[in-house]
Amino acid sequence: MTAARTQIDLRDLQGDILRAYGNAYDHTSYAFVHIGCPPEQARAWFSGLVEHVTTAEPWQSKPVTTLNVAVTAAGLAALGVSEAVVKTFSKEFLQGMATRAQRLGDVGSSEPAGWEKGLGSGEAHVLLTINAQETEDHQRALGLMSEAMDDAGGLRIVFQQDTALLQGAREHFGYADGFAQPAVEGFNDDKAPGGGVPEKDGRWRSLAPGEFVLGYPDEDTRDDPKHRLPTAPAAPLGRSGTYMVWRKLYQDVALWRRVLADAAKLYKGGDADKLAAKVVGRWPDGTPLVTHPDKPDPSFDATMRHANDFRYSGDLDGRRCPIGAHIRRSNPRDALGFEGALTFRHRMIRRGMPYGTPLADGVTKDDRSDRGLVFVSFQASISRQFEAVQMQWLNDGNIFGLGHDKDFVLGDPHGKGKMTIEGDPPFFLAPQEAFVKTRGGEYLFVPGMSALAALADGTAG
Amino acid sequence: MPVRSANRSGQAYGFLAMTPIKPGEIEALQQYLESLRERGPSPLSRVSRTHMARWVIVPKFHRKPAYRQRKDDMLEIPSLIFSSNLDGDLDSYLDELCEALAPEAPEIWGRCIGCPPEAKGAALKEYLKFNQVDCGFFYAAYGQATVSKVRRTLEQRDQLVAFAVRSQGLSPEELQGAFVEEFAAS
Amino acid sequence: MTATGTSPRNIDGQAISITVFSTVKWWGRLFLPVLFFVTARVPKLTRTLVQLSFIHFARWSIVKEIPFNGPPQPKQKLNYPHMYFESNFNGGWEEYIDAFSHILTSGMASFWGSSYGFPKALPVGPFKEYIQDNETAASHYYSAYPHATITMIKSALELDDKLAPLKRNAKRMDPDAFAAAYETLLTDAQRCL
Repeated sequence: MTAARTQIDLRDLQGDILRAYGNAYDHTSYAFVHIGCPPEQARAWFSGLVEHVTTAEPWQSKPVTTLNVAVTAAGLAALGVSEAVVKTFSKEFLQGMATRAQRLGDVGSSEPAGWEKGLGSGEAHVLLTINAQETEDHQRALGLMSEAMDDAGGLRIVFQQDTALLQGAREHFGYADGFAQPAVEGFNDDKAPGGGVPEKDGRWRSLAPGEFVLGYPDEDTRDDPKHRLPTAPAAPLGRSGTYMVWRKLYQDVALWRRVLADAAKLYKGGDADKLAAKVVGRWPDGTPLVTHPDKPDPSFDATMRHANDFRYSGDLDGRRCPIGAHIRRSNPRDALGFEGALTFRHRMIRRGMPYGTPLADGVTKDDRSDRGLVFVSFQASISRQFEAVQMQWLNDGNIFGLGHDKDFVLGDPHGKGKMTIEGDPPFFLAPQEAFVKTRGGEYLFVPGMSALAALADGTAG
Repeated sequence: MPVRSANRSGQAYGFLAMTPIKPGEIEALQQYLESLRERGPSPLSRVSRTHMARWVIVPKFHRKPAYRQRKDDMLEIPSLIFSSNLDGDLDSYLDELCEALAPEAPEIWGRCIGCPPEAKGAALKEYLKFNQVDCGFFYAAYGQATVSKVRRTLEQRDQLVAFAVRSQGLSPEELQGAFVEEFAAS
Repeated sequence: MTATGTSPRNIDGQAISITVFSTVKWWGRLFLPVLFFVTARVPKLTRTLVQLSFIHFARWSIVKEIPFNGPPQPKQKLNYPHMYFESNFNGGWEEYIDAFSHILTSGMASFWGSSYGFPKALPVGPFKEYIQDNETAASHYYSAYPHATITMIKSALELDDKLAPLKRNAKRMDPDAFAAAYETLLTDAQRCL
């Protein structure tokens, strides 16, 4: 028996979590603010911010700019939240991403000691995410943000990352990104084919909202006769909130191109583009390899309802889409058997943006320019959803029967790994170099609107 | 009599000994066991037929009021559990264990009631067997493989993967030569 | 690094240990031995466990009495049987319990249903709490091959069987025949590599 459909209070939820802003904005800036003044003073500034925060309510007309706010564990304390309340947040959030670097695979060239200044040091307190369509609006919004901080005093930006959409909504290795997202009950049920939980007979169902927003039933609540809600921080902070993972990932595009071009010389299954598609699990335009193993589908459109409607159970030997391909690792769907039971509780909502100027087509020499992806995800549990995927599915291969093989795209800091491209015969892609390096990151909490008001008032406990 | 065959899966055997800890010794025993990691490789690495093993101190049997257990059933005296997943015949394994762990056994089982004064050899073996708890159900994923076979084949797998990666593109003659050198030279 | 979610004392490389004691109701004394007997003899019942592929070794044992080793050990008569469970597995503690909860729901109910305090296997939350409450951390845990995971070991064993004929015959084959046989081996064994 299904429970009555939950009604989400959209006014209480910040925007871009369940309701995506999509590719409506070309520019996104992430500004990490450090609070150096006493909590009361900080809260005065915070109140001013909160007035302008964009909620999840549907738009009549698209706002010129949007503002969203998140806080770190240190940020909660800086805003005057009591230790007793701070302790009700999750352990991994309290420890912070830098402390957990080892388990995330942030070692060698990705280790926190090498991160950009301001990230992972405990200085970041409040993250302001600003989206804008036009450059002038973007600059103006950033200007207003600075002014408000100057007026308040005792605040400074410890790290800022500006990002901009690339043409075709691609990321820097050339692949269409961001269009495959979980289907959440009551929100985007139309995306359930492909975005939801794969069930028997080809059906799909949407995920419970509590997997992504606290204060609502999650997948476990379904099985609970007492309908208990998932663990959340103490009221009023928990309700309509979510945890956020933010990571700056540098991408070595020149290295990626060189390694694939070299390896392709020995690959008998096609050219470098085919080999790259095998690594990712999609063609650059987004066509899934498992449905189109030989070439992309000219009619593929990422915004189509059934764009993501595919499964792996017809390709268990990985001959169409390699078992270790990036998208197959990050969302195995039904590939692990048991009707998706091993995968359905590890989904994330991703809202990242590429940063930096593209490396011109065909260039295989590094130009020392900073480019890559700002990875952003929202989930009810950082450890169950983000960290488990990172550790068990991306940085290891046991669950897929791939030994210690890691996701080839993310690379290996020691340059030692390989990837098996299944076939007749198989091809071994090596060496696995450090294509992606972590330049810094934070674990944050995105409070709901009434929680933000409580933080601003000093009534968060 | 306990059902001995329930302890077997393939050629693997599940052994467990539960021994009472001498009063006042529980802290010292806990600290000693925890410190083993700091001193270097585990002493169990000297008992080559051991796949996986553990020492666990059980101070009491857990119980919460919500369980509605009518009577109390606390362990009168804390126990030390030693559990090992091993290869082959139990008696010869215990002989090897009691020999190899001679340096450590006095600090471990020596702190348990009823342990023979010297904590080694045949007397220690009899003590452990006296306190054995049989398996009810024992599961081994690869019960037919011994420790040495597991190690040898893991190494061979690494070797073959490295070989397969570097020999892509070789001619048949080169390939055969390289393969023979790597795997069949004898 | 995949071994997480539990005390570092329970971990050796990739291998994780879990040790749980539970107090068993009177009827478990009759039911459990039958369950153990049947499970060991009906492969179908352990098939899912095999497919899940993250357990090296596991066991359930019943402690019915405490052997008397002489003073100062008091003679103890147990009021209830106590069930000892241990597992040696790979992956994270949380993912392990989640998998058991969702996929081996009836299996968990069979093994722990007769233990006091056992909530159902689903929902996951109370089941995890139950395991945590009844779990004891190891003081010392050892694996003979700490960096190997189950699927690697099974692959290694299978590969050994597949590689053996080629190793035996390699020297005396002609190069083209060898190259073809090698290619066949790789194709056949690719899931092991």
